[in-house]
This record gives sequence, C-alpha cells and structure tokens, in this order.
Amino acid sequence: MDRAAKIRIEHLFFHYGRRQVLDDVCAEIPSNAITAIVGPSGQGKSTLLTCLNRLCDAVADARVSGRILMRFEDRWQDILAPGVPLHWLRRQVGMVFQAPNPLPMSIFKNVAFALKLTGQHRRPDVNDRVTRALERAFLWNEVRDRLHHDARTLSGGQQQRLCIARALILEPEILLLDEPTSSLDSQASEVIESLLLALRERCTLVMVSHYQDQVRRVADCVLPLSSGKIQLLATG
Amino acid sequence: MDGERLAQKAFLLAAVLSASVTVLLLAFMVILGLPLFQGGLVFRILTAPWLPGRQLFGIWPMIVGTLAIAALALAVAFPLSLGVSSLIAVVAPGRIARLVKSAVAFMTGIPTVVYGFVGVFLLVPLVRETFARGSGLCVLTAGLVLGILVAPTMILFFSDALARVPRSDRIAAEALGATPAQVLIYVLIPGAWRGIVTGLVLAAGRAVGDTLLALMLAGNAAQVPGGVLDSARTLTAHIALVIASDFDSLEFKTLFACGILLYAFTAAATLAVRRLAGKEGPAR
Repeated sequence: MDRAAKIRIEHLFFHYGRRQVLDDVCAEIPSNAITAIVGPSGQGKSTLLTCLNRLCDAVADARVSGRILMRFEDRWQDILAPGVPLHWLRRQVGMVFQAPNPLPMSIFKNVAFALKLTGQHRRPDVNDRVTRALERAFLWNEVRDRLHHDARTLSGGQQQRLCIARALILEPEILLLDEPTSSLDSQASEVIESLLLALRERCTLVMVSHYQDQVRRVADCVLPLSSGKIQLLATG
Repeated sequence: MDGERLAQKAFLLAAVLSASVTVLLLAFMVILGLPLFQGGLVFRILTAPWLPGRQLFGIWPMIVGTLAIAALALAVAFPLSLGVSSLIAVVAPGRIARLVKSAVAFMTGIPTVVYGFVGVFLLVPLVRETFARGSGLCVLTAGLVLGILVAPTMILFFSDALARVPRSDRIAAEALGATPAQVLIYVLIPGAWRGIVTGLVLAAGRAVGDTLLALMLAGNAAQVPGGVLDSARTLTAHIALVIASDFDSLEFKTLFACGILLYAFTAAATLAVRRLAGKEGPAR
C-alpha cells in the first residue's frame, strides 16, 4: 500500500477564523488513480483540495495544522512544512477549478503561461509543449487553426479543457480538480471524464465531485467527507 | 408630483448652467484673445521668447517650463504610485493596505500651499546645498514636489484598477505557481492597464494645471530652462504673475494664448480618458 500511495494526509485540521472546516482528516491517496472527494456541500471538500496545493494560504484568517506528505521522486515531503516554496509546490500539483478560468489572452498564451512563469522562452520548445499539452487535453484538433484567438471565445467545455491543458504543460505529478464538470452540459462532461481516465496513467488525480454517477464511472477511490471528517467506507 | 417636476427643472438648470460655463469660458478666451489671431501674431507669441523690454511677448519659455516640470513630476510620481498601489493590491492587502489607502486619500485633501510651504523650507535649501548651484528654486524642486502632489490621484486610480482585475485570473496564475511579483507583472498590471493610463492622464492634467507649486518653487524666470537646476516659469504661474501687474496691453493679451493652451490640454486629456473608459470591456 505504501508504495502505491502518492499523498498521505495526517491529522489535518483547518479553521477559517473560529469556524472549524476540517477536523482531524487522515487519508491516503493512491498514485496514478482518480480519487474522488465526495460529500454534502459546504463540508470542506474544496478546502481539503486547496490544502493540497496550499492555495488555501491566500485566505485571510485561515489556520492549517497537521501534515500532508507527498511523494516526489521517492521522497516524502511535508508540503505544510514551513519553507516549502509555494511556486515549486504548485508546479508539481496542478489545479483545475469549478468554473473555467482562462486568462484574458489567446489560447496559445494561456497554455504557455506556466512556461513563461518558469522562464522558458525558447520558441520551438514552447510551441512543441503547447501542442502536446493541448493534445493531452483532447483540445488540439478543435483549436489548432485558431491558437491566437481570445481564449474566452471558446465554449465552456473547451475552456475547461484549455484550463486542463494549461495545468498539464508543466507535467505535474498531481492534478487537483474542483468539480470540473459542474458548469458543463452532459456532452462536454463526458469528454472531460474520458480525458481524466486517460490522464491517470501519468498523473495522480484528486477530484471533488457532486455527481454520484460520475464518481462511479471514473473514480478508483472515494474519500467521503462530512462535517470535516473522513467517513470510512468501502472504496468504489 | 409638482414638487418632483420642480426639482427636475432645478437639476436640469444646474446641469445646463455648469455645462455652459465650460463652453462660455472657451468663448470668452477666444473672443478676448481674438486680436492675437490676426496677422499671424499668435504664431510669434507661441514661439518667441519673453522680453518685454524689447516688445517680445512670446510664451515659448513658459510652454517648455510647463512641460519640463510636469514631465519630471510624472516621472517621479508614476513609479512611486505604481509601487504604492501594488503594495496595496498585492504585497500587503488587509490592514496595512487600508491604512496606506486612507493616508493617500487624506493627502489629496491637503491644500497645495502646504506642499509648497514644505518645499520652500525643506527641499529648496537641500537642492541648493546638494548641487551648490543657483537658489534651489528650479525645475527639479518644483517637479519633485509636484510629483508628490499628483501621486495620490494616480495611486487611487491604480489601486482601484488593480483591485478590479477578476479574482479568478489571479487565482489561475497562483495555481500555476506564479510568485506574487509574477501575478503583478503578468496578470494584474495587464488587466488594469486602462485604469493605469487613465490615472496617468488625469495626473498629467493636474500637473500641467497646478499653479501654486511652480509659482512658489520653480523660480519663475521667463526663460527656456537648460537643465533641471535652472529656474523656469509655467503657463499657469505666468498668468498669475502677469495678471497681477498689467491690464489691457499686448503683454496682457498673451495670457489668453496661455489660457487657450491650458484649456486645450485639459480638454484633450479629458477626451482621452473618456475614450479609454468607453472602451472598457472584455477585449484585449
């Protein structure tokens, strides 16, 4: 079990001001699998997800305690430890949000954005990697002729796949998805679901989902969260 | 119902009155300055030096002086304002940002003469001693203090524009591993550039239109300044100085050229801001 685990959450507590959101969460997330965090809304699912890339740090009055260990190159690292560089962490742990959030720039620039952040400017490399990321996100064929159009002209489903491509370009080992299909119609959701299944080979996916049938279709492992605690259940 | 109609009429009257004042101002200046436009005199006035002893009443030195002092003020204020507004938006949001912002808002309310006074007693001697040249009343001194004067306008515009950049854009960049500086450079400033340009244009209008600081700090020599340590006179200071000494001479009439120039500059700045604001939208 230990070899297959990618993330180990140990005694994680999370408070917004006086409100306790996560209460002693302990869990293991297997590598190269899709783990779904499920449960009633407002019970800390998204908060748990944002702890995994420490986007929760940006929230005022947030307090986190406990350990979140992640395995990178066979070394376990506590990402909540002080001194972990956030930009490094977020390059290993990509994230896709509930509503597609393309930046106000072209399709190409959106996908290449993370390369710009890491200082990779060599044009042929950038082109190559953008193409590959778009292919991995099942979007290349739809946008190859209009890479320099504004990303916001794409449909909702395309925008969400663009956001996935943008997250994939740095080849993160872990990809977090916060209800990635909740703003999409069923057809667009289906495309995303098959995309997630394909990504599993090279990536550990952690997803928040509201849809029972979606969880049944794609998840290898389920973490039921309610009242800020993991309720132990058989995996699906 | 009747009261409502009455109020409506009163408001309409107020609006028409204030709008017509702007138009009438221009008409007044053009009519009174009309003799200047006859016989190409206006061209000579715009380009000649100011030598009343030789009957030369050109305002060219004042145009250069105005531009030099305003440009220096903007060059000082722009980086300062961008830095302060970035601090408010990115580096220290929360209590420190609120404190800085209210201090900046307070600065906009301080009378200009106070800035001038502080400049005369603190900066003028400092400039004089540091450069060991002239009286300390020069383009540099006036530009520096004017920069401090116009900075709050810019800071408030810039920080509002930065705050209006959608939070989702910021989070998207953060989730990709952008450092706070990268969020600022690649997301916030590009997203806020319209507000930044608007603030810059308005501050330029304020810098050109300010009278008192230049009058108190620039030395008022009616000459084209050769460098930042030279004394200079702005158009506004020129109007204030000449109006106090003369009436109904050619010398006096040239003031209308100054007035029309200032009016044209302000109008151009306002139109530029309007166009920018009108373009506000999703395109980029």
